[in-house]
Amino acid sequence: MYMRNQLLEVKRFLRTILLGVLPLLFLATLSLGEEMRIKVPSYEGAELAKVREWEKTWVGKKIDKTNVDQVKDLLLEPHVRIIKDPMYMNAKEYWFVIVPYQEAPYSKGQMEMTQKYAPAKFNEDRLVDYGKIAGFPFPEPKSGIEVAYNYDAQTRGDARWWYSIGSVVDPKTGFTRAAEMYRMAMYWTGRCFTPPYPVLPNNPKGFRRTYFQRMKVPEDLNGMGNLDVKYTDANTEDERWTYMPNFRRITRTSQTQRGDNLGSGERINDDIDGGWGDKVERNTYKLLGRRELLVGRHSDPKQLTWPGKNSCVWNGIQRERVKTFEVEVTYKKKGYTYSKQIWYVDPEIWIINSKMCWDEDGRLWRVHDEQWYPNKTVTGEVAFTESASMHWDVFGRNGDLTKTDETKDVGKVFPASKFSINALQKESY
Amino acid sequence: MKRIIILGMVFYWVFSLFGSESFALYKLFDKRLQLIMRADEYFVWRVARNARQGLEYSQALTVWRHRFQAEGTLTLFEQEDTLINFYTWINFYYEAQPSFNEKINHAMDADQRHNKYQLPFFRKDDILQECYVDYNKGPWTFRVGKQSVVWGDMTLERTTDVVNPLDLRYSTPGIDEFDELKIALYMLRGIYETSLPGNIVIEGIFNPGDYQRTRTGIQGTDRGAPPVPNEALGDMGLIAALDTFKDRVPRFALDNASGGVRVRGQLRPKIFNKYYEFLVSLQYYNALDNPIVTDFEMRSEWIGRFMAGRANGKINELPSGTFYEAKRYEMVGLGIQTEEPNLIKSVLVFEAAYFWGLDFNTTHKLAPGDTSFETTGRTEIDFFTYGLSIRRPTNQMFLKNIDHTARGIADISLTLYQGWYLTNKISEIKKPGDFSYDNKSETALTCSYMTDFISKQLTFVTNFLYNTRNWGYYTLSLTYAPTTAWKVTVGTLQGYANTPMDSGTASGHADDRVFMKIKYEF
Repeated sequence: MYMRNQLLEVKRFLRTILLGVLPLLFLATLSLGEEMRIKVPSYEGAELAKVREWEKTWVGKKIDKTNVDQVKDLLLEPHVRIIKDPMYMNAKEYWFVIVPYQEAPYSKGQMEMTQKYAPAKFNEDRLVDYGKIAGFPFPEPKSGIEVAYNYDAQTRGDARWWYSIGSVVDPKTGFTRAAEMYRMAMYWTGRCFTPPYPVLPNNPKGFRRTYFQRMKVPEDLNGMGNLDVKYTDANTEDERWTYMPNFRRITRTSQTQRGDNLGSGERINDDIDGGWGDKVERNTYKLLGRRELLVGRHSDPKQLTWPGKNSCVWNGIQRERVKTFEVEVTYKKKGYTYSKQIWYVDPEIWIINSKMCWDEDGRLWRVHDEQWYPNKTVTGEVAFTESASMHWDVFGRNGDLTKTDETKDVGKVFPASKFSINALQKESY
Repeated sequence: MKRIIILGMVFYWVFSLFGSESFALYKLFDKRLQLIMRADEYFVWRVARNARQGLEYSQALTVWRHRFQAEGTLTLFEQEDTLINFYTWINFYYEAQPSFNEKINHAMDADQRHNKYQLPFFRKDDILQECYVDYNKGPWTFRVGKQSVVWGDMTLERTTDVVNPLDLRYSTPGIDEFDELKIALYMLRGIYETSLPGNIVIEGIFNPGDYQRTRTGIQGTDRGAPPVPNEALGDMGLIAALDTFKDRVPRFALDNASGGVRVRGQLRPKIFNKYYEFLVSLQYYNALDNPIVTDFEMRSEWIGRFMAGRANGKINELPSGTFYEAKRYEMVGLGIQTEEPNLIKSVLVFEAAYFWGLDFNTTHKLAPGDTSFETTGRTEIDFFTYGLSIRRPTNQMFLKNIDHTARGIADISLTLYQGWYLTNKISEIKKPGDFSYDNKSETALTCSYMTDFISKQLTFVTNFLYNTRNWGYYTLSLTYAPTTAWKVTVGTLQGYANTPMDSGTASGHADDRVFMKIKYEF
């Protein structure tokens, strides 16, 4: 009897195990299967196979007015319009070349930091604190603001020096104003490319990013310098100091100028730094979904041609298919320059490939097309940096172009003195 | 001469219009030499306020300046944290107006006309606007050579920016670039960037004796006093003769040495839970004053011989030496710059300066209420001045309605200046420039308004200055820069003054002008 009771107890125990613990284990296994992925490529599996099949037809092809209709679903409408009518931007032709989709790599630091810190938690102010974390905070974003924070987390090699050439073009008259400048940028927090990461030591003021620019052309601005400082603390306003060579003075630039045009081109001060240079928290974001586009992210600037010095397009951009995040962006305060923007954000590099901006009257005003190119960092990593860009006013018919003539020192830890106010005056004549 | 000038200009404009595209920046010798070249034509038309001025001054076109400038930066050495550059700025001009305008032509003798006014040979070196070696190594920077130093952030009035004198003979502040107005001096300048908190930078300058006076208009020219018609002695007026004499200030002598120190750093206080970044400068400067004062004994002798020479037609027999003296003074200055982004959303600039031992001639009014006086002696006075500027871009919808690309933003700047002579004998002092005869203090307000149209191809700027003694001026200018190569500016400069005593600074007694500048970049 006793033995029988013991057997019954064992059976009850086993049944409990089978009915209780095993399903829990099963559920636990399932949940492990849903573990957050550090990196989600634009295409994989069947989708990738489908893209590869499409590429068999299109890779290497020059897309111009004769065949643009066949790929128009993969382009923003203003591009299709200008390819068909290039004289709108005072060009005889506007064309690009299709290249195969290539998955963009993360750096070792981006992998490690994303693994360590993602998914990030919003604090009370819905802020992501780059003083404490690095990597992409939301590898699988579910909302617009998560996409925006991923964009904000991209440090593009942590630091770099590059020389830009460009022109502001009035296609109506053909008048062109040239500009040349060298630039340096360095991230102090949220670093992912060159040790030490995620933060640089000796950062008592809490810099997030510092940016230095020296104009070389036009001659009346030759020597003009800008120093931009972005702070890690989201409640601290950014700063801009400007050195004017014809006055030989350093002046503070007002933050209220952020919505003003940057120089004479088709960007405002907020549009710098790859599409959005101000704090993420200034806007509200609405994720509209995914949009497949042909974008330039392996676009070699040396392959670009300018159809004429009075035209406002680059020809020869190397575009590939990417399934971008389409995010509607609205500035929180009223009276801003743009009533609405739509960003097309790269799901692997987390850069803004393109964006469209509407004016205060709700008219489509500006279309920005940013091209990127992989560069080797000083530690041998790959970082995507500026290749070229086109910024069009499709309402008033104006535009500007930039192209990177040289990029170097990607990932280098520059001395802090390179980003001091004194540096604005140094080497300026 | 007229034909050569006119044909030359026509050829130059035609060549520029149909010539090749502007290169803007020439990079030569593997980018070791960077060269920029530009040329401009500057015209001023002067309009008489009344009939008497019409007789005294030349009307219509009174300035026609041709100018060519080239800036070159040659990299001599570059390795790791060491960079040595050699910078040269050449400025060659020809003021053609005396070839066209009889009154101006007769206002000066031939020597003055060519060497002091028409061509850049006033000191035999003016063709070099600046020329120096720039040595950078780590935190150290040394600049040796002819250079300009700007120690101040104010725009229309100079509060602490006193190192370089200005050349106002035929340039218009606000139309010509500010650094083009400055007379560069031979100096040694050293800058050390410390690693102390606040990015403190220490800067020192030493001028071994290159003293230059502010160059004001020459008698009979657009910026000068009225010419004296039918003047004897080679058409040289008394004031022009005095100007010649003033120019005999020793050029290079250790007695004329000047120097100063400036410390600049950043402060970051937390005010009402917000951080504010302050750029703070402190400076000390010791130099010879500019303008100069009169030595009485020498002056009496000089005038006596001048008058005698004038009677005999031998004006060149003037005494040697000088009766004008530049006296030493000291100055301490403070500058603060910050932005208040929350309440007034403006950039604020504050500057203050205290001057010790400024030398003045004492005077005696010839009659109560009269504007004329006789000089009686010399005295030293201290002077305190400050300026407070508020600058803010503002949204103005009417501008946006005019032009979609303009963004409707206008940059507005308001500045208050005040100054006090610290003396109880103010009525005995002959004061220069801004101050009226009996005033111990002055107050001035300036306003600057700037906006742009057609994607910044067109820029509109206006400046007002109002002095509480009811004098001032205003300028309006419109600049059209459609391409990198061309820039055209047209505008007007109007002055007004309550009393003739104020007109010297206000340019209000006689000077209404319309100007045009055409600039071409090669």
